[in-house]
Amino acid sequence: MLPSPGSADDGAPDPSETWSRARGVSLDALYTRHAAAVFRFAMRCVGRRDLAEDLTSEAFLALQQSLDRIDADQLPSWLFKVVRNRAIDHWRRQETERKYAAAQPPGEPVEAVPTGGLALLQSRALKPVHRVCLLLRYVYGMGRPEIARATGLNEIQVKGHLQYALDLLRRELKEAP
Amino acid sequence: VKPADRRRPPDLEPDEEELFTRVDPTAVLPDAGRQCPGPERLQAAQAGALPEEVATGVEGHLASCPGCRALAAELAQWEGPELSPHEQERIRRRIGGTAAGQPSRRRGPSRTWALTAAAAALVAAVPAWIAIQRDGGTPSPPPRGAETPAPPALRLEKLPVLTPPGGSLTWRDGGGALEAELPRALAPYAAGDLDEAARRLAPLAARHPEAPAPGLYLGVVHLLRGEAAGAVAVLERVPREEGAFWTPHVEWYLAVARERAGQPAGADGLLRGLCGGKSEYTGPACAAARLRPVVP
Repeated sequence: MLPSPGSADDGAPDPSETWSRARGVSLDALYTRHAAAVFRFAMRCVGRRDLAEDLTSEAFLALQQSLDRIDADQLPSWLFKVVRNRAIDHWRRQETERKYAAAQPPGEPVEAVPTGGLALLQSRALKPVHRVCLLLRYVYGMGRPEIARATGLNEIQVKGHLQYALDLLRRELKEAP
Repeated sequence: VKPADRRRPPDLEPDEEELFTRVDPTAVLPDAGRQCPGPERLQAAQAGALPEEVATGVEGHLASCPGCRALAAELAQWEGPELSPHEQERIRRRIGGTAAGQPSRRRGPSRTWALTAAAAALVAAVPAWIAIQRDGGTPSPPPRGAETPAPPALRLEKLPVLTPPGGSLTWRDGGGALEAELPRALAPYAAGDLDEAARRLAPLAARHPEAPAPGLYLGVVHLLRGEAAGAVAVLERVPREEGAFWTPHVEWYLAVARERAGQPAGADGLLRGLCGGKSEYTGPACAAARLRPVVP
């Protein structure tokens, strides 16, 4: 287990404990402070919970190595940078693989105009998370498990968000002519 | 675009039909969405996490796709899912592995000793794997001593063709097609014909991204053919659900692939997770995680 923030305060520097001593802040304390934000950023970068978890771990492992060279005010942006660089590597590998695995002839770019149907899903009475779920389902035609994977939500949450949004849209539709 | 081309959610409920019909994506998504980069890439583009050439492609697409513009706008406003307590704990365990729970490398046993010990632990912990090698597995080079610059500490063994408990249901195919196709695709794998196995598994993995098995075996095939980077790309795409039958297998082979692809830090994180869990890989993962330094 990690020692508490105050457990490595003074005494002769012990190389094995430098990770917890640098700048007077323990890795544990830094983790507690920044983990949620780093994970959210990682989710944005790779769009998958399991990979976001990996990237978050790797960022803090990297921090552990560099703790004596980093000021607290460089955080969390330093951690974000580690995550971003790893994410770029990830997407680079994905693209190579995608081109290699499923090279499809690109279609003609089409200019299109938003329809009333799209506007329907963009009700301002809903939160962004609802609108994301609605768009993925009714525009992109995704099933609930697919939406869950793409958003990092679980299927129960997706179902709940969709249900709430649908109820609200139905009420709006009834009121509209 | 014909309405028939439109993608329909496979689990659409009767009471959703009306809304589904009213939203007409043929006017919103060029090519019925086939060229859309998907929510993951849209978000990554916003975070600056895409390689330049991919980011340029996404930008170009956004210019001509109202649907993706709308989705990108919503994604930018949404703060994203929260870190669960379980994930918190797993990450804490991973980063705590070298920090507090284990002896410092400086005070610990020498690297040479540790490597040998890890190899021994691996052999002792998974006798089943050794048996598997006889049915056509590519023999892997044994771990070497510390004098070799970067020896792979993780041994590569051929994953046997496994059936999850509960049988076919846990393939998670959602349609029944995979259940029939997977055994056919795995036949050349079992027989040691890796090229044919790759040819059959690749389209299966592409068509069933939700099912771990095709991607897992395709990743193992890449590894057995010595294509570590390809294996990383394939295995990273395999879903790893908490507690799922395939998850420890995927994590182990992804660790092996990352190590061989020169990404030891990525391997270490996975090994710590496996070491803290309970699977047939726990022993070898603990042994391997202990001996390698953390690389930023």
